[in-house]
Amino acid sequence: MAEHDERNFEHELSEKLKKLDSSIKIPEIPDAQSIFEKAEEKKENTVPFKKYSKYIAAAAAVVLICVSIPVMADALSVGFDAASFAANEEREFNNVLDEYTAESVEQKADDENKFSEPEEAQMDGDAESSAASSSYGLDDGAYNYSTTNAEAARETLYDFFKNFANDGSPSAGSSSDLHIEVDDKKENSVNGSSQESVSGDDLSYIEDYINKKRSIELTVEKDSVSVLLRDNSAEEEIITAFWIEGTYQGSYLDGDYYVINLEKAVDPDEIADGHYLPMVGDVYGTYYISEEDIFVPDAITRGVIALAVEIHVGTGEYTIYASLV
Amino acid sequence: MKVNIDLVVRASKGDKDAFSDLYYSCYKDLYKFALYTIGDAEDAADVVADTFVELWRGIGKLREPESFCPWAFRILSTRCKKEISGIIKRRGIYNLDDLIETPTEGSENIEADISENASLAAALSKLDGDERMIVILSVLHGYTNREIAEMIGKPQGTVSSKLHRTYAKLREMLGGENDG
Repeated sequence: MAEHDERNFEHELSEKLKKLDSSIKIPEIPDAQSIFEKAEEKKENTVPFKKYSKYIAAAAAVVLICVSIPVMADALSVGFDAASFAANEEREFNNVLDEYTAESVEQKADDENKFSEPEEAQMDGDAESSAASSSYGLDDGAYNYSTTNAEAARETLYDFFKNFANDGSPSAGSSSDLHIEVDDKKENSVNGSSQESVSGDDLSYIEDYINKKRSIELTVEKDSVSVLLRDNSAEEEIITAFWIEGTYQGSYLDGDYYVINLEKAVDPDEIADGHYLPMVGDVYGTYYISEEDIFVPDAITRGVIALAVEIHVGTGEYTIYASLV
Repeated sequence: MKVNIDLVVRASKGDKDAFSDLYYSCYKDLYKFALYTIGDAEDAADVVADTFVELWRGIGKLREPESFCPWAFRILSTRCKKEISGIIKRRGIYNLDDLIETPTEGSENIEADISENASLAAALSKLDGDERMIVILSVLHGYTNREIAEMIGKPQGTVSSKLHRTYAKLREMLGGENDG
């Protein structure tokens, strides 16, 4: 019976979809010549890595030897553990080579061209190189990372929020006190903890690897933060994607939750008018946080809404906590 | 989407005219698929153009001409997924309303059709990108779950369960005749 109902619904849906489909406006189809021109442009911007891979490897080896010999000599002279240094250097060098070998590039290309025969390993000048740089994209933003232990970082964060709670704003210099452990960050356990500092840039990009299966991408703008939680075990499937109005204050992993803190300055007139609610947007549309979702204490001393977004890294479900302080 | 295999074979040998014919015959289907998935006309057109560039660059390596459609949808679906993240960053939203033409002829009840189209567009907007892709490929294009799994790069079981859940969601949103 249920199966019969489902079949009926499928049929009904199919009819409705066909009707909708026939009503979709189709723009004027661009001339096919534009496709060939774009393909030609792309070809010109493409670097044939296979052709040059031997030269690149040879040049890299020469540079490595030139750099390694004096450094190793210095290290030996001061009792440095040259063997472990060399092993480390070799590992780094191999990583760089692996990234650009024909096999690894072909593997990437094969992902999209699963139905094609692999031919010449090539790397797109735009898409692939930007993907590569974003995967090592800590250089993209103006964030200063330095190594610290997790406990100290937690204490720093605690101080940050204590200050924030006491006077409604991060203490002077507290941004530079927030550190992140870069190595841990890349393959962190979901039980770990990390925070990051923020510079004054208007638009910055942060990519945070929570573990091997999950990554969070934050794009910080002046007045909003875009959030993308991805599942890297599949084809970078997006689990959660939304943006939220507010100035980025920091983010950290707390157990299975990723917490992002923001602030939204509120004008007293906006409060009086009732137009102070922060906005949130996702693929389904744009909406305001409801008034009921904002905690308003008895005495409002500052016109700031403190927002915390808590995302479950497994399910992608998120909750926004807000309080007017 | 149906393609002329002869055109695929000729295009794979570098025949630009054959590829142009393929382009004009497939454009509408690929454009609509992108539009349903990402909900923005301009972005959909860009994604489709990029997809055709990839198709032209790779068609010479296509092993089986019959695989052209799944291959095209595979590239397009990957590009749509990437585009969704861009839309979020630009604060764009899913909106098909402005992209639906008002029925003018061949329809007995125009108002009912407009309302039905709007309800369906609204229901689609509440699905996620994968759900929209799966339901469009299954219901509109008639592909099997196995074919869809290949196209969107997901296990067949995932496609089956997602399709089942999507039906349930749509049924609830559209208030189907066979509720309960």
